[in-house]
Amino acid sequence: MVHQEANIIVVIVIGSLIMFLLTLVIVVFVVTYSKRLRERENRYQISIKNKELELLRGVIDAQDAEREKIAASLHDEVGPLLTVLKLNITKHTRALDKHTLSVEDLLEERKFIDSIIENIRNVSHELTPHFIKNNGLTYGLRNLVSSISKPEIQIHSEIDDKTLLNTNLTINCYRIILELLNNIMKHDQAEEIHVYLSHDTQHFRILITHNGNGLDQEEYLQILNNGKQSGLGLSSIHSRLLVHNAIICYSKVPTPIIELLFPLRHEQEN
Amino acid sequence: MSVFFYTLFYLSVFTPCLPILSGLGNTKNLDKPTLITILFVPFISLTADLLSLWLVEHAINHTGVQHVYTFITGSLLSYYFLTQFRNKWRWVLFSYIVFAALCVMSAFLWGGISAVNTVPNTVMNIFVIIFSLAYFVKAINELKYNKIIYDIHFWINFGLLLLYGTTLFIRLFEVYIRESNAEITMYTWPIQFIANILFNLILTGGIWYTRKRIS
Repeated sequence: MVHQEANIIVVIVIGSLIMFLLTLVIVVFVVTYSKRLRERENRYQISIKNKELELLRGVIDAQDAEREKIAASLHDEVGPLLTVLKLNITKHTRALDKHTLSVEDLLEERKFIDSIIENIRNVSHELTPHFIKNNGLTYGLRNLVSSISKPEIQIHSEIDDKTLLNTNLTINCYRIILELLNNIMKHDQAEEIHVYLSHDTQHFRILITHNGNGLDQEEYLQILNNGKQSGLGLSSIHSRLLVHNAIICYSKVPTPIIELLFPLRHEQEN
Repeated sequence: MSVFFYTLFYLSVFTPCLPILSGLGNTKNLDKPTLITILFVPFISLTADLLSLWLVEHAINHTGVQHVYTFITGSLLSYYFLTQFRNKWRWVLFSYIVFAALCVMSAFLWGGISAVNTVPNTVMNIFVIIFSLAYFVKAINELKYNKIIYDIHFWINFGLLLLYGTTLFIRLFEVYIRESNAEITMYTWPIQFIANILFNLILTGGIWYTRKRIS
């Protein structure tokens, strides 16, 4: 009986001690684990914030670059033309006084004014592509590539993009394709570029193939994550893709391909 | 040995005053369910111990007080856990119904009011251990605070887990302890006293620590 009582005491004391220690272990574990989780969460938040800042900076830089480009276009192309026009008008005023002004002179001036209008239209297209809003992405792209003689660019479209895509997505797709074509022409030494536009029930798909050097996904991410060195173009593309929850895939085997997928349901919800 | 025993006993009886006073001093910083738990769980413990002491002094069976104490404490803790696990309220309610049914059966069917209520007491210990552990899992998943120790509920659940975890074996063998000789009592009840003192100290420390952080 005494032996049994001793056993019970041992069971109670050891059992209670184990439970006590177990409680302490659990609490210490919870405190340290939650602390570690919090630190990881904070680090993650900071990295997200940095990434967002980087993207924002990329967008701002891209906007600035675009403004500079437009300012340069106005200054270098339209400015001199207007100056020449002003000089011509001064010359024609004098000729008018002397009664030497001919119809040919005026027709020539008219042609000159037409070229100024064309220049202004080009600048305007760069600023806000109204013609894309009104006529759709396929039209806009065909209009764009018609002015480029080399490399040869072909647009293959299977979509009725005016009804399929909203204005915001259309403009962003136009700018992304413009930037990608620009990159291919600048860095990849391509001679032939094909742009395919298609869609299914879920996605709007842009596929660009060419016969230049190209990039694979790893190289693309490396360039993108290089910060300022990545250039404004890729950051701007990345920001625009983020807005639409879209993804981009680069591959260069067997031929260089860039594939972009834009979720359509997401667009409709917005 | 008896000096040690009675020192621990009286400390265990009166330490509930600490969280009660701390809770009363910080009513503005604590929400209603927390305040009710912090004030009433120690208060019920203090009242039950004093009443039991008085009954033992007058050689009257005090197990009835134990029955009532268990039921009220279980109800208060169920209310507390119900506010902690609002989306799992069915589980808490189910546990409370089981516990309440066991309390009634223990008091009126099995041994009667004059017998030790081992079953509801043990079940309450197990439920409190489970819900305290569930709180820790929830706290890790939600990460509401920069440090978990800034949350008053961490301290409450820490205290509850320590008290009800440590005393689980005493509850299981309570009938045996009460019916056996003084030696067993001398070795086992101090565990209950120490756990109770620690519970009250943890509650008090928690209230003051989190109060400092809030203000």
